[in-house]
Amino acid sequence: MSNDIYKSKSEYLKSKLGSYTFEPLVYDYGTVKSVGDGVARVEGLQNRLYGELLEFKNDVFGMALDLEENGVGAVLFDSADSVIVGDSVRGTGRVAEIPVGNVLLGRVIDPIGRALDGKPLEAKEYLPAERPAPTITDRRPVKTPLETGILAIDSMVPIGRGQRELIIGDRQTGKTSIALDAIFNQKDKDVICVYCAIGQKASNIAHVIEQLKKNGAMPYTVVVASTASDSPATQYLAPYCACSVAEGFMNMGKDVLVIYDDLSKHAVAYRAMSLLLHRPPGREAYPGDVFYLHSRLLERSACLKQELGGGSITALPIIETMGGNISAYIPTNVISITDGQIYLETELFHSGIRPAVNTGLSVSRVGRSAQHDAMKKVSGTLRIELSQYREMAVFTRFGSDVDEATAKLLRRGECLTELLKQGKGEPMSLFEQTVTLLAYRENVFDNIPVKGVREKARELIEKVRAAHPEYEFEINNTGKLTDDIEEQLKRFLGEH
Amino acid sequence: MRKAIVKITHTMSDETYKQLCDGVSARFGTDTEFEKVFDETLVGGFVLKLDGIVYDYSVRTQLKNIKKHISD
Repeated sequence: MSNDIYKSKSEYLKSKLGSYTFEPLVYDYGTVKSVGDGVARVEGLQNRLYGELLEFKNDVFGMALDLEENGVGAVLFDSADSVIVGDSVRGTGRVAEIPVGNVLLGRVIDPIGRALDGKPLEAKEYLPAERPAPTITDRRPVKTPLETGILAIDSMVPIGRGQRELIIGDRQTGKTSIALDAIFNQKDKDVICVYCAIGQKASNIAHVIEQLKKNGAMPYTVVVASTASDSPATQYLAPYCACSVAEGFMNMGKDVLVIYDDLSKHAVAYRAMSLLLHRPPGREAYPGDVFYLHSRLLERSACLKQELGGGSITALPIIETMGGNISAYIPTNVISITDGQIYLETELFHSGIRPAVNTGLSVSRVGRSAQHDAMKKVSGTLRIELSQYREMAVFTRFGSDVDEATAKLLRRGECLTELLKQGKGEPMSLFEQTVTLLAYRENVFDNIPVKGVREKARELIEKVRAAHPEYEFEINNTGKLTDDIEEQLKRFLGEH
Repeated sequence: MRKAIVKITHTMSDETYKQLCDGVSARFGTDTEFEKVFDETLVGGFVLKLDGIVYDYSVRTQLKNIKKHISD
């Protein structure tokens, strides 16, 4: 028996060695002239590609970003300690790549494509980190809704599949929570999610992964993580790699949701890298191409036409503002690139309105075309009502005597604000959202204390669900609220 | 004068080394100055560095290639 194994192995070796051909290895080489702060200047290495991976000694890799006549400037991905002046550097002839495909589902990887969750990663397909965005003719209009399960967003700032919607706000205003809720809500909806952490604390990333696992979201999610201790080059590469991972799925015809958490840190990492490469600093010391940095990334989100598989990438980039200043350099850049923004406010957050969405400053440029018919029907005047309420609330803050119409408006505004509050990890289905807003429209909550409004809404949903399960099925599956069902629901809500 | 670095092992005879240098001069030009460097990790063969290009004819690299070829 053992002889047979020996024989077959030796046969295998013989055949392999027989097919081996001797080929010398010929490649360009350069010499490290200076190294420091994660940047190496290399002499030699002619004819390199922009963004090409360079191999230093001891398996340290870098990326060629400054191509000059006599050499290149390269940023190092790993610890620069082992790179010394005089070392040989080799061009690899390929740009930074990332594994793609179904093997990544449920996995945590770094932007270099290495698994961070301790399990081996057997990838077969790779895509370059930087890829051109789909062309105009490759795209179709954004029309299919991507439900976040958050009432305030789905009703007033609807997001469509293929859209880029910015989540912007100060620190601790629930930006990541909104993004994570959107991921949790994609369960059983055939949407793949990619969460990209850029320059975040490792403890925060661990917390996000734990939440994803707890909510059963990991099987359809890929996490691309670069921590605050990673080199600026690794952080710079992270969102491009996450986008390539998403494109891998989009090319299979899937709908993908990508979260870039967050692009402010990405811009900071790029600034650090550019300054170290001696590129001329511009406004706030950012380099001149910081706009292009984000526009070329977000332009890769698309809704492909059916001939190309009909897949889509929806991007939810996150930007952290300082002191509510949305007119700073990077926030205005990203606002102008995206198709709308969800603006979160510290004041709202601390007054207990969570999610702290400021509906006045939040917009979705794709708008109603990316909303289910049922939602369109019931959410028609919400924005106007809420802005009227906010305006009136400011005026009446100092006086107690208001006329009946104003009192009603204030009362309804308070009621709506209460209804739009939603806990973390409690996404609402389209049916639940429709029933809640229909009840609001039909003045069901008028005689209930504001504090009890949410409880009442929940109660109503349960009653409708118990009495007419067919409504839930119909609304959730078709996305439509027929006149017939609407009438019956109105009657039912009126009776209860 | 161009400079070429030739890495070899001690197993290479002076005669072979001379033939190698002559061959390189004939191919790349006679104005080449050679610097001999001994590197036993090559196992055998030679590595020539000239004009920013490495020509790796070492046994070490071939062994690496064979290992990859067998395991693929």
